[in-house]
Amino acid sequence: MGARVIVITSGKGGVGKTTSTANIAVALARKGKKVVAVDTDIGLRNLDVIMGLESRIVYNFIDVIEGNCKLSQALVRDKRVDSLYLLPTAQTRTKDAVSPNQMKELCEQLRPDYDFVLLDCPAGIEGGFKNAAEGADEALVITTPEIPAVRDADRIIGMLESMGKSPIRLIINRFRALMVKNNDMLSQDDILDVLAIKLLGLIPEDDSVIKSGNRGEPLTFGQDSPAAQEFANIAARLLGESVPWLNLDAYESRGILAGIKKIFGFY
Amino acid sequence: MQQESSGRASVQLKGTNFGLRVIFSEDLDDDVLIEEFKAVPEQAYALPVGRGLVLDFRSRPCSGELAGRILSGVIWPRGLDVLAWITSDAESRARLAQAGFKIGEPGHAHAHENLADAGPLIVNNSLRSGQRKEYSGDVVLVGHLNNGAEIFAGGSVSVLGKLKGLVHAGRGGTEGIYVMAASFEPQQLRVGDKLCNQFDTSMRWWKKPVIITLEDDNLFFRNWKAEPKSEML
Ligand SMILES: Nc1ncnc2c1ncn2[C@@H]1O[C@H](COP(=O)(O)OP(=O)(O)OP(=O)(O)O)[C@@H](O)[C@H]1O
Ligand SMILES: [Mg+2]
Repeated sequence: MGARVIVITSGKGGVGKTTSTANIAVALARKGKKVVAVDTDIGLRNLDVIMGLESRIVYNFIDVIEGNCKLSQALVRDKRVDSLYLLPTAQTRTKDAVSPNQMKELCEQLRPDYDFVLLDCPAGIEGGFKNAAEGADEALVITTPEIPAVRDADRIIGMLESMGKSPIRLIINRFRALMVKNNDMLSQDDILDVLAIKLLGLIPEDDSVIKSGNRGEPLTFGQDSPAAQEFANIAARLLGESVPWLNLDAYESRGILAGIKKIFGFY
Repeated sequence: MQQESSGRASVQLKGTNFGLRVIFSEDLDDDVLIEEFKAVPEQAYALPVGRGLVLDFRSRPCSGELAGRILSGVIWPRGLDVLAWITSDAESRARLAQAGFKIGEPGHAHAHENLADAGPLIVNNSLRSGQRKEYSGDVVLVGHLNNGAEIFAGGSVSVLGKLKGLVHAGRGGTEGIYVMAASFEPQQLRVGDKLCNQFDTSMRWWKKPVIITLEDDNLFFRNWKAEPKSEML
């Protein structure tokens, strides 16, 4: 049967694709799945930094495609959890270094040995996105609750649909329940009304995301922050488990409500 | 578009490219005709019917009394428009004309016959940002037109979901052209050369079901009685 190959994409840049890829990969591995996270963002190495594997890179996926090394030589194994691997990107090459067919071929090479292949995609709707999406079966579209990001997500979803990717599911990142309450931010209903795809996760704005990015330690290694919790939930939902949604209201007002109300609950 | 939309033999509805044609069987008693007409389900009028109804009595006479009962029993309560009263009975025609009713086929009904020949383009999924449909005839979108999506039509455009994107209808001439939407919230609307791109969200028709026509070079809005489908993907 082989791996589920999932592209993580957004259209608009900087909305959390790399963060999501790293954290979902760790969360899936912690649930005992064999996972490889592939950084397809040629020229901009990011995923290795977020995953804290930067110093261990020797080869990259373009070396594999060009036959400079074997696939096994390019894969970096994460020592903190069993069965998690990174396939890094090349920093010194340009986006046109690979063709869609080569990307597809690479995914097929990975497929037999893993449960999940997660493709961290570059921003935009151009070649880099198309290459990454080519090899995938499924897609996770990341958006923040902002109109330009939602518009770009809509555009990407249209392209993914026409490429026959299925299912295409949504993750809303950097969500702030209090701002939504004050009508200063699009609500999840507003976003789902436009995009009309299934919601897989609702990740709160959370400072620990930034801290963990700097430390090179994906949040999902510890599970105490709300974002970490939701990434773990996303991994569970990907595996078909039904998981309750975070109560973000309670989280944001926990300063006031500490000790009175449980932090997590049901909507 | 030719489409049978009513199973009733005595009152038949046919979609045409200007509106719905209602054909009454010729041997009906007045009372039965009214009852059957009343029994046509509301949904039949929710089709992309354009501007209104053409009532076709064929050779059946239509008395002033019957016309009155049709108006008060069906047309007015349902908020419909009658474009024409068609009968080949000379006496009825004279009477209807005298009373000020339109008795000729709608003037624009044939203006786009060459386009209608090809049939409308029916799009069965929502159009997302960046997607665009271009067609020489009428376009019917069974889904939403999202912000950033576009329809360019030689003929009329019907959006059975939310119209949030850009529509340009009547590129082949504006005679008899309409734009119809289950929820009107567009970025931009063009009918022929007439452009509208700054819609005030407090306008009366915002997010309402509308039929828009061009009359004396102005966009003319009318209520379209249908609810947008909330589950449409
Ligand atoms: N839930 C969150 N809370 C707070 N900060 C976040 C959250 N998600 C992402 N960020 C921050 O947003 C920035 C962009 O995240 P990330 O690099 O994952 O986005 P990206 O979509 O991969 O960007 P690019 O398009 O450049 O590849 C990072 O600094 C990250 O720490
Ligand atoms: Mg990135």
